[in-house]
Formats: sequence, structure tokens, C-alpha cells
Amino acid sequence: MTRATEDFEEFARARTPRLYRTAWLLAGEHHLAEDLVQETLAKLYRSWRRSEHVENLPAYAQTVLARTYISQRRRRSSSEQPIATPPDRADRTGDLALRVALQQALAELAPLDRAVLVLRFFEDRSVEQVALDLGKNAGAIRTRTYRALDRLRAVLGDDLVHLAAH
Amino acid sequence: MTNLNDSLPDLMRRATEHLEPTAPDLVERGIRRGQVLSRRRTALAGVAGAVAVLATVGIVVAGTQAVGGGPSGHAPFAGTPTATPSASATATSSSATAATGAKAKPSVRPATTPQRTLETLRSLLPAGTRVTKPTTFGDDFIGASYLADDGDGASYVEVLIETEKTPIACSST
Repeated sequence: MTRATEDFEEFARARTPRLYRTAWLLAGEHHLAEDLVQETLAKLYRSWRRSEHVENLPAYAQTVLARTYISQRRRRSSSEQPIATPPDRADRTGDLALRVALQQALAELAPLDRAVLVLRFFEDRSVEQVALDLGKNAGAIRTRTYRALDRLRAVLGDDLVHLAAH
Repeated sequence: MTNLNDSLPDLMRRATEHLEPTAPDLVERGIRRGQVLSRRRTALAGVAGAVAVLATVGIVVAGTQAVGGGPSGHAPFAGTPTATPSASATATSSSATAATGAKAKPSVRPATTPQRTLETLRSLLPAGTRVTKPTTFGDDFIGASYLADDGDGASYVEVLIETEKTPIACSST
């Protein structure tokens, strides 16, 4: 194994848990989230030699993940079969009620809207930064954020108060 | 009333708390996949280099024929003004026509598509080759492949086109 690969492996092992959590919010399902992380790691590995020019590698990795998700969803949109019950078996720890409610609410959003919300509220990025990350203008990101939050409010309904109260 | 703008970060954090990938070899799989992508990029660079060499050879051969004619003794194509509309309109001498031919090249190539790439790959295979399983793939590149059988057994033939990428910006957080 080369030194570069060893360095990458160290970086990947450290970042994978965080990448997976973001991927889960985006993909909404355990297996798809792992696939998304794997593809993201592959893309990061491919450009690893140029990574010394990247100012913030962890943030860069999250951006690659979000863009990979949008790209994959574009290609898979015509072939995916939605199912009523999430098949996750590995995610049965923690706040299950919240997880299922959020999973179902996020599933109501278009992939790009979902990516916008995850980058804005989970990754804590500014509107301007998300616009740069996703190749959109800031106005479009603001509009998408507003509409996506509105949709989430409608889907969560009264549950939102209980979920947020915990 | 709960403000979702304020509560969503906490909801997302709590929903993903304790979530971990279960595949023990996720990083290794990512690296292996990355190595495949790297090899494809290298192969692509090789194909691009080969195309550049072939294009150069083509230009040199065409230039030679335009000036001096082919080895068969036939008149050079520059001497037949009907070869191309632009050439026929302006051809007065071999050298003038060669210059016109060079100018007639389009400066911007149209963007390709997976289907066009597949068609191009098919056209590059020798006549009589039987092809099956046409496939296109790729996200930030275009890949097209066939199983091609020239009568001595099928081979997997693949072409990869690197497409223009939008640079990814990074936050400073």
C-alpha cells in the first residue's frame, strides 16, 4: 500500500461515521447511505493527490457526498421502487420515533431540496456556501429552503411539537 | 409554536445519533472503487492521447496529399474542387485549398451524449464485428461499452469520455 493510500485510509476511517450520518439523512435508508458513502470515498480517493490544495478536507468530503447523492438520484429516479416500511435493521438504537418521523418527512422532498436542508441545518452552512456547493444561486437556495421547511411542517404537523420537546 | 428553523438542526442531530455504518469494509470498498475510477481516468487519458496522435497523423497525411498527391498517382484531393463546399468555393491552388480546409474546421465541438458515444464506439469497430450488450454508464464522465465478437470470441470493449466538471467549493467551517 502506498503512502498516499495509507493517508487516505486514515482520513476515510476518521470521516466515515460523519459521512454516513449525512448520507442517511440524504438517502433515508441504511443500504443506500452506505452505497453513497462508498461512492463518495471513491471519488475522494481518485482526487486524493490533489487534495493538498483543499483548504478544508472534511467540509470538501461532505460537499462531494451531497453532490454525489444528487447525481445518483438523477440517474436512479426512474428505476427506484418506493416501499412503505423502511427496511433498516441496523438503525434501531437511539430515538426511533424521531428517526422514523424525520425519515418520512424528508422523503416527501425533492432530492435537491433535501440536500439543501441537510447542508443548511445539519452541516450548518450558510445560504451562500450551499449555493456554491450545489452550483445554484443564493436566491434559489433561499426559496428551496423556505418551501422545503414548509413541506416538513405540513408533514410533521402536531408531531413536531412533541419531537422537538424531547 | 415550534420554530422548525431553530429546531431542525437538533432534530437531525438526535435522529442520526448512534447511527453507524455496519459494513466493516466500507472504507476498503471505497478505496477499491476509487482505484477503478483512477484506472478509468488513466485509460481515458491514453485514449485521448491515441486520438490526438491519430488526428495528427491524419492531418499530416491529408496535408501531404493536398500538396503532392497520393502514391497511387491520382490527383490530390485539393485538386478536385468538389471535395467540400468550402473548398470548391475557394480552391484555386493546392496550397490555397489546404489553407481553406484548415479554416473550415469547426472551432467548437458539440457536447456528446451517452447514446452518441455508444454509436461512435460501434462505428470504430471493424466491419463484420458482432456486438451485444450495449451499455452506457458514468456520472461525471460518459462510459459506453459493447461485447464485441469478431468471430474468435467476444471481448469487452469500453470507451470513456471525461466531461467538464463544475469546481466544488469548500466552506471554511
